[in-house]
Amino acid sequence: MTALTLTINGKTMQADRGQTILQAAQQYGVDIPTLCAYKDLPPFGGCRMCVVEVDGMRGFPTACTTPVEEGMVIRTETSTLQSLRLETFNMLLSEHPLSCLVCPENGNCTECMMTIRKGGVTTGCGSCPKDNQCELQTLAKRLGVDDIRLPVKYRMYPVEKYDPFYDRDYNLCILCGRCVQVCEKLHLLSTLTFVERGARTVVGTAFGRNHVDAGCSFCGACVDRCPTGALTEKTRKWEGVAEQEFESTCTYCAAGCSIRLQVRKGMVIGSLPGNDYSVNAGNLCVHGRFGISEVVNHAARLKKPWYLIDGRKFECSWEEAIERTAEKLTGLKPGQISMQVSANLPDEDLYLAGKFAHQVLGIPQADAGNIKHLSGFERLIKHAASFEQLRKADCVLIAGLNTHYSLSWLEFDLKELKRNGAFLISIGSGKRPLDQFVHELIYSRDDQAESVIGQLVETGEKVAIEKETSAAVRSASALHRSVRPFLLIGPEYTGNAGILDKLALLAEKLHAGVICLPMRGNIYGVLRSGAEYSINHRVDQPELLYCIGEQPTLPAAYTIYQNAFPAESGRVDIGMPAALFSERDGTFTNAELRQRQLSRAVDPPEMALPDWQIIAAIARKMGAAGFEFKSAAEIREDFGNARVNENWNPDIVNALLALPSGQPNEPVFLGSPLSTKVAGLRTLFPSLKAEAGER
Amino acid sequence: MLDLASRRKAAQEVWQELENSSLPVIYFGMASCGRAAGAIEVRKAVEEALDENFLTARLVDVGCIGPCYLEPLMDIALPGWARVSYGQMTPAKAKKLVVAALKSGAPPLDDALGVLEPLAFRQTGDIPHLFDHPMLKPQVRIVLRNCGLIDPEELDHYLAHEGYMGLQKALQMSPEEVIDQVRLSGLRGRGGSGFPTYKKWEICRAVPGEEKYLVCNADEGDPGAFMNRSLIEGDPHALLEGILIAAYAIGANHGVIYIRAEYPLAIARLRKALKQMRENNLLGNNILGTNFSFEIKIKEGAGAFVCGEETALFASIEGKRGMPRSRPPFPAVKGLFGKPTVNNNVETLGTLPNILRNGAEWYHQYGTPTSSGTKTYSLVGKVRRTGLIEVPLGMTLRQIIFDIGGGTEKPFKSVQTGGPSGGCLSAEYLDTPVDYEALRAAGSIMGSGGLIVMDTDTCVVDIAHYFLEFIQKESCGKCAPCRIGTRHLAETLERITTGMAEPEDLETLKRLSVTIAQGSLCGLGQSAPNSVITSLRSFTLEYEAHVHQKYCPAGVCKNLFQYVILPDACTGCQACARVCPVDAITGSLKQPHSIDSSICIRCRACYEACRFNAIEGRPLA
Repeated sequence: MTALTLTINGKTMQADRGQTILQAAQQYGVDIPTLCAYKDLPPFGGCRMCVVEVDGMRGFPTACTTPVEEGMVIRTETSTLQSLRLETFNMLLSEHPLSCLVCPENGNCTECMMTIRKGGVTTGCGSCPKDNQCELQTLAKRLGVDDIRLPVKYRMYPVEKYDPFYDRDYNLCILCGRCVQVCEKLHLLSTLTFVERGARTVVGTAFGRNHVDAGCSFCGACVDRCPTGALTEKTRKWEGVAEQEFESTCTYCAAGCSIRLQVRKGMVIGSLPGNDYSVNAGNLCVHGRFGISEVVNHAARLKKPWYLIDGRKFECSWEEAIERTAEKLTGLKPGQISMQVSANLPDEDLYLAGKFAHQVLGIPQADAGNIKHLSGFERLIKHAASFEQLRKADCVLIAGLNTHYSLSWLEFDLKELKRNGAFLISIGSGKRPLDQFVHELIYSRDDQAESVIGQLVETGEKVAIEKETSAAVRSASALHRSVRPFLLIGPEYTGNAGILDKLALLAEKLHAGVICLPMRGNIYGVLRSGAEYSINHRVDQPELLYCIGEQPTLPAAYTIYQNAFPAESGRVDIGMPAALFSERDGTFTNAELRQRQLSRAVDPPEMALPDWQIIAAIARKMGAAGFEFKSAAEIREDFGNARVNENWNPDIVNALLALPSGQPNEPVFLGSPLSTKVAGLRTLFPSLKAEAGER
Repeated sequence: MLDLASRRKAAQEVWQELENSSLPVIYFGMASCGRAAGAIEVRKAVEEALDENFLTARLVDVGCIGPCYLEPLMDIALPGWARVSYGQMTPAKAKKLVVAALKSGAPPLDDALGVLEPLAFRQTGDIPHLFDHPMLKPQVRIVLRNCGLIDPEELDHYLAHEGYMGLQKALQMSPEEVIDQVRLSGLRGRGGSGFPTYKKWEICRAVPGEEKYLVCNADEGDPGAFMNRSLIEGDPHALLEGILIAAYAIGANHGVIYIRAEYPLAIARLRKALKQMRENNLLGNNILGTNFSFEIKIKEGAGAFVCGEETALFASIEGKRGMPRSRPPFPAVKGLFGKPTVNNNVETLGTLPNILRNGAEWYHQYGTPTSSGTKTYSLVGKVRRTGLIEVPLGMTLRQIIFDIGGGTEKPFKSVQTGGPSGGCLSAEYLDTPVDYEALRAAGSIMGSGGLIVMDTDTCVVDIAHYFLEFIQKESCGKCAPCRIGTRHLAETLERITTGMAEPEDLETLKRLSVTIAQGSLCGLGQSAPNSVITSLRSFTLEYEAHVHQKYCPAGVCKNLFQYVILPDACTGCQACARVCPVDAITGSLKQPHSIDSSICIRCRACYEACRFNAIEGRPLA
């Protein structure tokens, strides 16, 4: 970076070669108004707000597109520029419902007439979901707009509400192009483009298809970047501005993406990509972006403990519920109890559930002597690497991963990898966005995948590549030649023991880095905490079934059910409401084997408690020692002291990984597919099924 | 490796053989313009006539020589006779003419336009040379030198006319020397901006990089402009030779011709020419045995006007939406696919072989010191002799419109230069020399060379409205001033032409024009308001009449005038009453007629039918 000297508004400043005038000015706090420029997008130059005067340059160049040069003399606030900006802004406003912006009664109106909000059609700021968050409002103030001198040209587009998760009202759109650019930047199949020409130009999809059909992955990046109310999230459109934000982790799949929970009035109103870029680099997939507020605010959340007598349900206090539970558990032998714990729980709860099983209920830990081999999954874990390492790989085998919806943010990383010269190989069945993109595509039905991967293991690097060489052989050669090979394993294969075995062989032979991403939240936490044996302690006809975050699928004489959501079927004798990840502190172990932080953004609903508190209370009630925890941090300490089980039972690991229901790419959360809680997902996943059927 | 000298000799023999043919040769002007005027039917009729009368002749399709108003054109060359040109052919006329000529052995001379080379030792019937025709005489044909004379699909014809001699000379020089030749010639970009061609080349040549592109902009999108199409259809090898010279000079290894898909004939001829080049070692690896290797691809544009803007054009070639981007970085540094690129217009490239062949000095003798050489224009509108012309730069508008174009029927009112983004220049600008600086000073642009002539029957507000409608529909929509501003501008003009305007609308026009011109991203937006600014300046009274008196003096804006019959001038011939589609005209024979304004739909039929100028547009009562 060479430092350059330039003059902005008479002040001498330093800038780096390659910077734009806008970037240089912003470094020094010089405010140049912009609408289309956005920090992580390439300059567009469409809104013309950032026009400046530069000595020696013809006309009025835009600060966002013009690179700095040595000795440039720049002026950003001359009267010509101000009037040019104001006139252009007037033009933008002439297409945008602006009555509130220039209304002298604006202040009183906001105070007194809150009820006019939530209109089906936005006619002014008062009825716009982005009121007070809109960049046009800010700019109107900055430029001093009091009236516009042009006729109003409302564009009369119908509001597009037929796709899940976000609504589109292009009457409010100023065509800044951020959504189009970010879609192209992040995704293999970019959905958005400009359609039509001239005054009829609008953002849309090819052939006017809806976003589901056009291949949108619903990552929400466009919504986050929209400066106006044109793109709004359905569930939070009327929730207003967030009062607080909490950095946390999405627990839906094993990636453990960083998220930012937005909170207003004690409620999670939305989730945005978090500031920790190590995993998801500022992007999310549909589950983390749109799936969280609907789940944590779900109307069916359990709020009070209860018990069942003669088919009648009695709500009760925690003391009573704990007492009844302790009473039932006391005196039963391990062979009479089946305890099932969800892999979605945070590390602390998993650890405590395991401890409870061994120490209180007496369920034995796996016996090292009985275990003949490790499962493929465990062998892969020994190669677990980080997403940062993935980004440095030079050859990546993408196995059983469809980035269309789940993990769609990986597409950006894969694009970057390809741009940096990495060789990409995809193996899987069904149509997927990766098909056209990777260097080698190996189609295989799931039952053939095992043998194809076996072929990758056996074929060495010194294979002669000819015209008729198969994709598998070419891929094998590339993998064996590579210096930093990487295996990226998606949910389609994580449940298949045979395929995992072969992939483990491949990883061992190549010394490859591995990221294995099952759609079962904290599966790594389960294995790490050594709790896996107890967690899926299955007894076929138990006397008593204790489900923590799982559905009661076994017929039992007595069922104790501890979850945030009601049981989908079966009889529950004691029910206990649990808090969710947004309502408690804790950690979560992701596919990199890193502990990711959860944070308590809001209080649990009514009486609901974190699972560890419930388990600890039951243990104490049963007279067990070592359960006197006051916080999740204390459990973590205890956890650190405990011996972590190294001897996992492969059968149980495989059983854990096999998904009970739902699409392979859809997270299972607390015992049921996420789409049972998130309405929008129901429109996405049937199409996935149909797609797979097409081939 | 091809020995071009012997190849040329063979080509000359082919051409000689055609010129000295013992059979009669009939040439047809078969460019798109000729075809549209009926050349295909004429040729068919001639074929039939030959068959019916057991006559034989060689039929040759050539390009367009320029005078559109005389289309379709046909030349007959009989043994011992010069090539005689005939215009405004119809199938019947052509049949008669060919039969008469071939049977008698002498071409009928009554309808002949003129004769063409070769004249030596041949009868000319004492009719003048075609190039002494008033439309052609003031012209200097450099780019168009072969158009209409040779068969564009025959490489031999081009080679026989000193084809690829420019390339040969260029390849004997170093690229720097070629650039220097172009610098000395003073050639400036013929696409409109007039940027010195050598400068672009120099910058691009200086940028380090293995891969460089030469792009030929053949996306001729201005309504009423057809210079590039005519050149490609009439002499495709001239363009391709120019491309090779430019590519050699800048060190490009890939060439792309971006041409509108609406030019199927031009595309077909280019493809054929490329094939011929490949067969003759004029394209591909080691062209003419040198180290210079080059490939040319044709990319068909989908017809967006904005794709004539170079950065939008690159986006379109790259498969993206045709939207311009801001400069810098300039294409010469970062252009097509991010590589250094030179984008030249068809005419610029078509001129290069002539400069290289004849030398920079020779070229510089034409035109003015700052705008040297010749420029082609499509001269259209209310002018008597419309067509494609090539004249030295610096010729005045008056010479072009009145000497070449033959003036207008009704009094001259205005001329729009440079297509829809150009300005309307009134009669006071008629003595403006047509060069880059003078036109810009007058508030207009050279553009790619459209000249639309208007007479007093044309309403400038209506014309400005037409152009703004065009531009606002063709705006790519990227930047706000162009997308929204041109829409407001067009709608304000519409209000004015329909009588709905408020007095402040004239102010609105000016304000919008300034914002659009200053604020837009690319040339399309920056020049969009030119027609409004210039017409508002020269024809203020006409605008004011529309706004204040609700009157269109030209009698074009239907809501703003009524037709009346002047009793003193009317002879009662009833011609007007007969053509009136709504029976609004009454009056008995030889008595002055009258028009019922409440029935009249202002279709203009009576106005055009009246031979006594007895019908006039008047303000509404």
